[in-house]
Amino acid sequence: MNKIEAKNITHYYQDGIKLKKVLNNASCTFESGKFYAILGESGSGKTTLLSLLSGLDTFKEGEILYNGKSIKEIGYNNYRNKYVNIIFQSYNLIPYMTAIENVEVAMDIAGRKLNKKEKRKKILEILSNLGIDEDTASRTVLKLSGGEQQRVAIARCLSTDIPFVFADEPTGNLDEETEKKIIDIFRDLAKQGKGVIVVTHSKAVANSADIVYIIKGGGVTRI
Amino acid sequence: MFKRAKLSVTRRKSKTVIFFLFLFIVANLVLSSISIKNATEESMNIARKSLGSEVILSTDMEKLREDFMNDNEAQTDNEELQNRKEQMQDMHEAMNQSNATINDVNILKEINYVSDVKYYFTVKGEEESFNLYEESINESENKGRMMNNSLQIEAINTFKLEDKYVDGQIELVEGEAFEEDDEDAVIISYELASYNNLEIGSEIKIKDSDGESHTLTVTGIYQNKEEFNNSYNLIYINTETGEKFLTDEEYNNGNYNITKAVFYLNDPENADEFKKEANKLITDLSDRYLTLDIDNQTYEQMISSIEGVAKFSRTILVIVVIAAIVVISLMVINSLKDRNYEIGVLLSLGEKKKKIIGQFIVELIIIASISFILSIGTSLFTSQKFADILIDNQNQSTMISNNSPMGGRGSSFAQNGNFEERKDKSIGSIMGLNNIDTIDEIDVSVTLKDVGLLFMIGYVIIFISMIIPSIKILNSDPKDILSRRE
Repeated sequence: MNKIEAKNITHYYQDGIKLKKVLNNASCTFESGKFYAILGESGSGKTTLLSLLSGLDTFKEGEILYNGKSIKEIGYNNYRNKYVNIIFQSYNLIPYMTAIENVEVAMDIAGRKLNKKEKRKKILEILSNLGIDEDTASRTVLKLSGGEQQRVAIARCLSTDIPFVFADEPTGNLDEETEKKIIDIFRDLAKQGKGVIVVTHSKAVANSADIVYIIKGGGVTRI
Repeated sequence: MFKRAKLSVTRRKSKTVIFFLFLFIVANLVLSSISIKNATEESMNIARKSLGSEVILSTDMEKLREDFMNDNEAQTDNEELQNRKEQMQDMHEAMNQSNATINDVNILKEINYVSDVKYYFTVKGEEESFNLYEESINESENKGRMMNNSLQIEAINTFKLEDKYVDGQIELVEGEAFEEDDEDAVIISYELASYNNLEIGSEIKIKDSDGESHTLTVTGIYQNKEEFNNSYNLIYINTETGEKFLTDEEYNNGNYNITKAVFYLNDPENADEFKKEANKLITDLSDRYLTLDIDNQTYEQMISSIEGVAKFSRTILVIVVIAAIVVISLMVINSLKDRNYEIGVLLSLGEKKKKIIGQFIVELIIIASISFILSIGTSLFTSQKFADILIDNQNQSTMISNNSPMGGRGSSFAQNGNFEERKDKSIGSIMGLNNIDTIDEIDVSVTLKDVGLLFMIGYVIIFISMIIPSIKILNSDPKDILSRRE
């Protein structure tokens, strides 16, 4: 079982001339095979915690361990490459590529060894499960709607064999039906052994999660 | 990385076109510079090999003056006068003893770079079976010159290399030039021949210093082409014949003195090497007040025009390379602004920064390779045009320089009479500037080697141009990039 542990994390950033503390001595643990939801009000530090846990940002105090080893030691880039995948609120797709190519880039970076045919089949399968057909998938992502782009971002994340998936408001731009479908996919992923950590405002997502953390006053509490 | 680079090049068309156009211009300039530089170097090579150069073995007058005329400080006028007289005597004595010998010539002519050698000496002799030509006093005065009334005998190893003959001051009007092994052959002046009713095949007798008589056969008759040349009684014999006229003392057991020796080298580039080798083989040249002087003047004057072109094309190459590095760096830095987001996404996916840098380099290499290949066709035309303009400008400035009172190198660089025989037609057409030949045309072609060099220089430009953008990529932080986007 793979595990990510955040121990006594304190994080702040410069807000004008003031230092604004976002997280204060926050601790939480995430294990593979489980579906987590992180709740909190806007500005409470949910996205910051996700950035720190996914190795996108560096924390000021405390430590984050992956299977007992500090992610500093693992190397942030290496950590992101091998152990975590991130689905962003604003999709973060490469604009001049098609949906298929965006997913393929993620698979290549993660080092998934599939032949061209198998790779395409797998990508189309993932995209199809998310409601994107081959025709839509062959268009450059700038020609897709916001909802479609978000689904491509999710597909990109699902295409790799990386043990943890972090998602920042992944269903924020999706309709109810697609949201339900995404939640099912996340649950399936957790069943398959992946750790899925979702920062969300959605009650549906929170209700489906195995474990829910709430951020309040800089601290993280399990409910 | 390669697939992403390919996608970026094909999908971001406007950026690709801008990079392509710039690299295409750079490629044309680089390839033109390289091919012009190579063509000029090739022409210089041909000129060099066809003209060769001369190294002259003669008395080192400068060293003689330095050694014998410099010790007169802190002396009274009388002492100084006395000293000067003594110094002059010593110097003359040293000068008389400073002749090169036939042994020196035999040693030096064996050095690899020597293609030909000329050496000569004068011998004393008195006419026995003929009379010296005498110009009437009126005739002489009318021409404003003094008649030389003694017999002058010059022994030269091969007449074809005789200075006056080579320079066109004298011309063989009958018979032919002798070679080293033509025994007892003599070439006399037209005036002397007419005066004594001599013709080719006639025999003449000359007494040497010991009173011994030598019979020589006239094999050639020359005519003076210069009005003020009055050496009608100057006759030429070869060195083998000349040896017979030397006294035992002068003959010195076969190691007799010569007046001057000129070694013709196959390539002016080897002149310094020849000197080095010569000084190794004959270590006492300097002690004997002898010196080896290189004469590359004909070659240098001939290549002066294209040398300027070669320099200019080298300068252009350097400027283009530097400008290209700066401009491409700026273009890539500018495109990084557009692609910052893409870098952030790739970093967030765990891509290594060096692979992102690699992707940018591959993109440039793809565009550059296409522009380099296409530039081969266009540069064939542009480089020839470019070369024609450059060489035309260069020749115009050379002409102005040569025609100006202070410019040019003067008539001492007059065309070598043998040049027409020696020059290689592939050098291009030759035009005279103050009796000096210059190359006014070069045939520029783009070779496979030039293209290889273009690719090498082009790729080096790309790699150097990527240094600053790479530092920017290495310093980029995905969180910062993506949060700015949020």
